[in-house]
Amino acid sequence: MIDTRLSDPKLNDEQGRVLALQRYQILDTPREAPFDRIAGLVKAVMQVPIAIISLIDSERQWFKSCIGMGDTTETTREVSFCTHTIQAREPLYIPDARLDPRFATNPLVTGAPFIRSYVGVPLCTPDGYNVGSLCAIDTIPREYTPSQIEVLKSFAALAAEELELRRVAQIDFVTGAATRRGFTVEVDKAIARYGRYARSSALLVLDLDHFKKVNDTWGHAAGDAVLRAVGAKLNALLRATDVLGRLGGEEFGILLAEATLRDASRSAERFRKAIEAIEIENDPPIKVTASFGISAIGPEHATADQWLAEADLALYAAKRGGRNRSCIAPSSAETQLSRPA
Amino acid sequence: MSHVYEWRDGTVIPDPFTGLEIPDALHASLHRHRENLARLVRSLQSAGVSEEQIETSVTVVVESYRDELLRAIKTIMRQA
Repeated sequence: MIDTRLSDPKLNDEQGRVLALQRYQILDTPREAPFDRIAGLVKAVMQVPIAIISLIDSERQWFKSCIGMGDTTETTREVSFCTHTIQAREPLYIPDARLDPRFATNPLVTGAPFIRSYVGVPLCTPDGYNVGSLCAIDTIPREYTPSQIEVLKSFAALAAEELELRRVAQIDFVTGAATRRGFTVEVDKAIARYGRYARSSALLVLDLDHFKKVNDTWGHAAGDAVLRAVGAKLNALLRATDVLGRLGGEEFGILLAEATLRDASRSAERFRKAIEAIEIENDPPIKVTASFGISAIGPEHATADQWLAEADLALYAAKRGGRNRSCIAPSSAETQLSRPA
Repeated sequence: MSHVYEWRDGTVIPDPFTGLEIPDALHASLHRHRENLARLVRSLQSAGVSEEQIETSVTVVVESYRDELLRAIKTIMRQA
């Protein structure tokens, strides 16, 4: 058997794969009809008792839809068949798990739900990451024809496209940033990570200075060109783990993962200079600047709205202070000062 | 590019998407969905699935995608 992982670097890029999954913002969301419908069709067409849409997180497999296995919502990756499925481009087909040394002693085979046969197809993103699997499971040994496996591949492509279409709806198409709603979801997740694991992060809110003047003088097409250029520049400067959101009009948010207040201040300065250097082709060329509010996460931030409001206060201070500068939110500054050296 | 739709009875209605800039990512998704749907029908036929089950499968899949597509388009219209 040819190991496709050698010639397919994305199959080995676990960090990139998990980030690709995170882009969908789907983990731990409630059950939803579109995914249940696809799993239901797989169950009916393949005539199996269990059909699952499984997403493979870094430490677990999580079920977006699970038909025929009770209320199970996740398992560890150690016992997960789908963890094996995502390591290749082609479907994983196991006619009898008891005869397969990889699965013969698996607790899902030796105990409930007593899996005997399994066929799983990777759910692949348009940029080539296998984020999960669509699988048909039976409690008796099964032989599937190539045509039946082709049917499962077709359903898997449709399930992957459902995921992708949701992601499209979360992107602001002018700037390529997340929409306010998508960004807020990410901020809430950062707050949850801080509460659970004390993982630091920082929030920047930036507003383009005198942007109304650009629209009034050169028209909305020129305004959009400025927004596009700012979005492209910021996206290029961010790490894969950071999130850029368009909060509305000419206001953006940047969530910096694993960042301290000092990191955030440095980043804000880098972004400020990068925006200042943008020149939009025009006669004369259009130039813009931006003001930044900075806030590091702390116990006082219970919701995304609270945290954004605090970063906004710092942004207004930057505006009042003369624009094209950044200001730190008061509570972040106090937290920083009160820390032992 | 035509900016009107003509029903079978000759009624002409304006294209509801006139002036709406469709992002490339949405175009790509629509294209992939069409291909995936054609592939599903071919594979169900090859697997000997009944015509009734094929019709049910296509209806369910199209309706699911339509719901999601409408949500995406509403988001885009709010941005425009």
